[in-house]
Parts: sequence; structure tokens; C-alpha cells
Amino acid sequence: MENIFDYIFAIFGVSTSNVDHPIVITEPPSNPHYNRNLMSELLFECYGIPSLAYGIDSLFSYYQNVGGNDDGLVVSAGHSTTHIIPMVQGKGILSRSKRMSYGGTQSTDYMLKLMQLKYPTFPTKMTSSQAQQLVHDHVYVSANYQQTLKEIENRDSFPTFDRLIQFPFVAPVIEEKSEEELRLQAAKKEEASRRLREAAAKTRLEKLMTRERELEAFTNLKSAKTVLKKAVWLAQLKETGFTDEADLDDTIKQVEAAIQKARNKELGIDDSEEKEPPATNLIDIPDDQLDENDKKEKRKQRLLKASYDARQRAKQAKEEAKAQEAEEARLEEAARLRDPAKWAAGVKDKRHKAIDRIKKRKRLAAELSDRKSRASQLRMRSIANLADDNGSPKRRRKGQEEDTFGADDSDWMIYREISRDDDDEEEEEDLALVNHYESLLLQHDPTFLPEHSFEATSSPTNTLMHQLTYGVYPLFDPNDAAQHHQMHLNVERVRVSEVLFQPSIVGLDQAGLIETMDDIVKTFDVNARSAIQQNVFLTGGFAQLPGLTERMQTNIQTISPVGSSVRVRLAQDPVLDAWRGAAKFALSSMLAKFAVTKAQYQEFGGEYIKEHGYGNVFRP
Amino acid sequence: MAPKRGKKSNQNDDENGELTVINLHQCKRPFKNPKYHTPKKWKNLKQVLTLEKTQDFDLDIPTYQSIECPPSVRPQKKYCDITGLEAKYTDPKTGLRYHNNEIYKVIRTLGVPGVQAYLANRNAAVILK
Repeated sequence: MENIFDYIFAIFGVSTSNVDHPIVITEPPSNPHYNRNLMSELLFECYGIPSLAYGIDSLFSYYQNVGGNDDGLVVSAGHSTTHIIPMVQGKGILSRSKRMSYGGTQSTDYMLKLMQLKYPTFPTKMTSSQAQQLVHDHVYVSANYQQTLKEIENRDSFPTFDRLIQFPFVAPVIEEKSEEELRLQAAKKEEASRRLREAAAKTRLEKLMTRERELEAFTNLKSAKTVLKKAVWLAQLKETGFTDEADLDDTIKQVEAAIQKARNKELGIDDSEEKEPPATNLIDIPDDQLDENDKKEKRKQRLLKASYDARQRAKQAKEEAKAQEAEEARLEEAARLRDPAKWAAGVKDKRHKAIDRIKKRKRLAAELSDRKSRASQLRMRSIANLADDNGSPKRRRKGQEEDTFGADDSDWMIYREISRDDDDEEEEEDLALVNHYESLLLQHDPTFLPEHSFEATSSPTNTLMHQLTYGVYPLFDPNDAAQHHQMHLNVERVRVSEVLFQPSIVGLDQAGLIETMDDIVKTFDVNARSAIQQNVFLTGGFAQLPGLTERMQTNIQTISPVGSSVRVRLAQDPVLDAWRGAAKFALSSMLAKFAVTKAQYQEFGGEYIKEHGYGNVFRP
Repeated sequence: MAPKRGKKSNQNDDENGELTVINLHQCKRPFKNPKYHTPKKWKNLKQVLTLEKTQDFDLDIPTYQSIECPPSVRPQKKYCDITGLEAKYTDPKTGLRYHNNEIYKVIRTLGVPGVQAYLANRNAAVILK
């Protein structure tokens, strides 16, 4: 404070050894003695002023704007507090005034906290002065808070409330390749792929050549059997790595088949698995009639026959399934054409069931991950039971000592239940089902729109949180750097100012503005009340909030008796009118009457003031 | 007496557009009493208030404490801690108030520091001393 006074007097160019001017200074209502003492001491002792007068800033503002000897109520929404002071006959009644601990500073802090919680991952830190700027520019008082909240929640009326704040950011530099470069890149890629293809074709060709050569060698070997003696031929066989003639025959067959396949592939002929049924001549002959080799043959034939039969059966089953599907689709179409409403209802029902299954699975997965949930505990109990070696000795009876777990196939299902693996396949199936039903509904049901589809309703962009954080338009694009630095101001615009009327929003255990005014007015006589209510005066920097006067008007009307008129006035210059009022006071005769002179200060002490209508009450 | 006319132009005048800045250390301050020494110790609000309490006055004289607003007697309207919309429900586990089940899902994903941050906004956080 001393520095401030130094500055003021230096700017004024005071060159005398004392400041030879009477001072009028404002103080808060019910200023503690200690504070006033310090101030008076500073001014009188350090600066040597001749006389000093104290007053209350909001009352000075009242004096400037209204003056007169009327009754009224002064509401001063200040920087750190909000005061409500009743006036009777133009003089403030301090004993009935009230103070709320919410003002400009607290609103800035609250705004800052709200934005920090709303955007916890915001790239830059928001400063207090930025929050103050937001409060000054965008906060207003809603006429009806509940109504405003409902309108904000509604997606259609939301854009009228939403304000988008863009913070400064640095755009990331994306290297834009020119047309030329893109073409070059594409050409290079093509080259590379072509080269690969050529190399692959070459290797295939080489393999084919080696195979053909092998085939030639083997057939030569085989034909050599007739030329050479058996022993020599067998020795040659063993040298090349075969165990006997059958082996050689098999290999020849394999190589021939491979060559055939390769040739077909090159020529582009599609080679399907059309194998003729294998020979089954040996299967029927009983075992003891056959010799060693034949027995082997018989076994091989049996295997081949079994696999061939299985393949035939599988093909049959596939065809049957296809036929059945076609049949079902036809039935569905018929049902649809017959009774579209019922059919649509049926499909919707099936879709709901599938969606329920999906949701249930999700819920179960969430529950199992929580250690304390019932599902998790049941699972642990199952695991404990399975791992239990001794079992319960009480239940053992003669003849029932064996553990019959596993005899029934459904016993093994317990392992499925305790395993926490994701059942992705089932989820995919269900999703596919849902999509199928939805496509049907989209085609044939006019009331089912794309936005009702499961995907749209469960996507995160459709949620309320997303709407409040990222707005409705333009759509949030995760790649856009500008959007990462944006904040949306919607509920906060009205919430910050609503604290004046409902301090419980910030946890202040105080009554709101209207309730306090009501209490104050009720301390007066019934006759005096109407006069006070007709003359409500708003001042102070925080009272510049748009919409405050209207809101006060409507709310005070609710607490005043029917038919009474309520008039709420805002100071012409809420910030500086206190000074103007004090200047007016100083220029009038009141200054001489109510200022405390130096002699009086030295006699009575620093707490001494003279009471006038625009200041505090003196407490001896 | 009003300050001298001529010095008004030194103030932050809109017409002038100039803001005179002076360095307090450099300029002379003849108006200050050289014998006066500012007290080095100040009292904070708590101490001032206790000091006030010790001085007794008549009951109808207002003090700094007495003009404080009393608590409200009207039922409190509850608002969602996350969104600010009307809150019809309260989460029993964390004590947070929420607007609908979508917000409830968000609350469940918050960790303890997040929950305490939201509660602190409402002056309802747990304070460990």
C-alpha cells in the first residue's frame, strides 16, 4: 500500500514535505479496527495529510447514481466479495448488511478449474489471466438456469450456446510431395513389383525343369529294371535313396502330379480336387487271406476310402446347407411381402437379442476384470474346486468314492467358463448378425435410419460428453492440430455466474443473492419493505455481467408480494462510479464535516471515524 | 482540495494515450516523513479476526464476521460434477453427482485423483492433514 501511495503522489508531483491534501478513501464494510488503524497511521504519520475520510465504495457509487433520501438496496458485486447493503433515507444501514464470499476473483478461479477438468489432456496450460478474459468475454447470467441447461443439452439448440475458443498453436509441417514426385514414386513401385514377378516366374520355371529332369532319371531307373539284373538294380535303387520299388513308384507319381499342377498353373487351368474314388478291391477280403504287401495295400485302401467318403459327405453337407439358406431367404422374402410390419418387428426383435448378447458379453468381461465382483468370485471358487485334490470327506460313501468328473461331456464346459480368453469369434458372429439384420431393415423398413444402427449409437462421437467437449460442428478430426488446441465453452458460461444465486455450486455454505436480499428486506418493517424493493441498485465490476439486471428483476419479483413493483438499476459505470461518488462527496460540504483531522487522529486513535451515511459505523 | 489541474495529464488519459511510467527508486519522494518506519510484521486475516473477537461491542454493531452471509435454508439444487447439468443421481462409491448413465460410465473410469479433483471443485474433497 505504501508503494501505491508513493506512486500516486509522485505522479501527482507532490513536492511539499507533507501531502497537503485531505484524502477520501474507501474501505470495505465492517473494516476491522486493525486494518483501519494501519491505514490511518500510514497516511497521517508517513504522508502527513491534514484530514482523512473513509467511506464504502458501493455507497459512494449509489451517491453518484441515485443520491437522494430514498430507501433502497445496494448490491455491490465486487472483486473478491459481494455485499448487500440496505439504505434507509439515503443512509446505509450497516448492521443489516450481508457479505457473500464470491466475486470476480473467485469466478476466475472457478472458470480455470472447470476448464482444467474438462480438458485434462490439453496441450497448453491455461493461465489465470486467460481464464479472466474468458469470464469477461463470454460469461453471462441466464434468465432461467434450469431452462438454459436443458437447452444446452439438446443437440439442436446447443450451437447457439457453444463458444469455441482457439488457443495459439504451431501447425505441423507436412511435406507435400509434388505431382512429379508422386508419379516417380508410383513408377518405382511398379518397377519393383514387375521385377519380383519376373523373378518368381523364373524360379518356377527352374523348378519345373529340375522336376522334369528328376522324372526322366526315375523313369530311366525304373525302365532299367528290365535291362539289369535284379540285385544290381536294387543296389542302384538303394544308392539313389529309395527303399524298394513301391517307393520309387510313389515318388514318380508325386513328381508327375507336381509337374502337371505346375503346368496347369502356368497355363491358367483351374485344377479342382476331382479325384476318382480310390480302388477298394482289397478291403472286403479278410486279413488272413492276404500276404504282407497286400495287407499294407488293404490298410492304405481303407484309409483312402475313408477320407474319400468323408470328403463326399462334407461336399454334400455344404450343398445341403446352401440349399437350406436359400430356402430360408425365400421364406423371409415371402413373409416380408405378406406382412411387412410384422416381419420388420421380427427382424428388429432378433437384432435386439443379438445386441443384448453383445452387451452382456461386454458387461461380463468388465465384471471379470474387477476382482471384487460376484462373477469374479464365482470364477475363483470354480477354480479352487477344480484344483482341490482331497474333496469333501463327508460326502464319501461306499461305492461312490470315485470322482465322476468328465464322464458327462458338459462337465468340461467349466474350463471354458473359467478361462478369461476373449470370445472374439462369438462377438464377431453376433456383430455380423446385427449387420445383416440392419441391412435388411435399412432396405425394407422406412422407419429404420442409419443413425439408429448399432454402430452409430455406440460410437463415441454420439455421446453427451463429446458434445460438450468438442461441440457439434465441425466434426472432431483427430488429425487436425488446430482442433487439439480448441476449447468449447457452453455450460461454463452460465455456471460461473450462477454461483451468485446458488453458492452451493462451489460448495460455499452461504445463501444465494436473492435469498439474502429477502432476509435483509424481511428485517424491516412491512411498510418499509416495498420502498426498499423498488429501488435496487447494482454496482461493482462483477455486476457488468450481461443479463444480471433482468435476472434480478424476475427473481426479486418472485419473492416480493403480488402486485408490487420491482426496479433494478445498474450503475452507469459500475467500475469507476465509486470514485466519482467519492469525488462528489469530497467536493461537497460533507468533507469538512466528516473528515478526521490530524489532531483528532492523535487524540482518538487510528480507528476513529465520523459516521456519515456512506461509510461504516464507528465502534468505540 | 482537489489535486492540481495541471497534473491530470500525467494520468492514464484516453485522449492522450500516454501512460507515464516512473521508477520509484529513482524519483524523489519529499512528501514522505523520513522518521516514519513501516511496521515489519503484519497480521493475517485469522489473527485480525481473533483480535476483533476480544474486543466486545454492543450486539447491534456489525463486525466483519457478523455480516457474513448465513447458510441457506432452501433445499440445494444439485448439479452434475462432470457436465454441470442437472444431477438427479449420486454415485454412492465416490460421492460424485452425475446427470445420466453415460456420465456414470465416465465416472467409473476416473481414478482417485480425478474423483478428488471434481470433488474439490465443490469443496467436498477429502482433506488429509
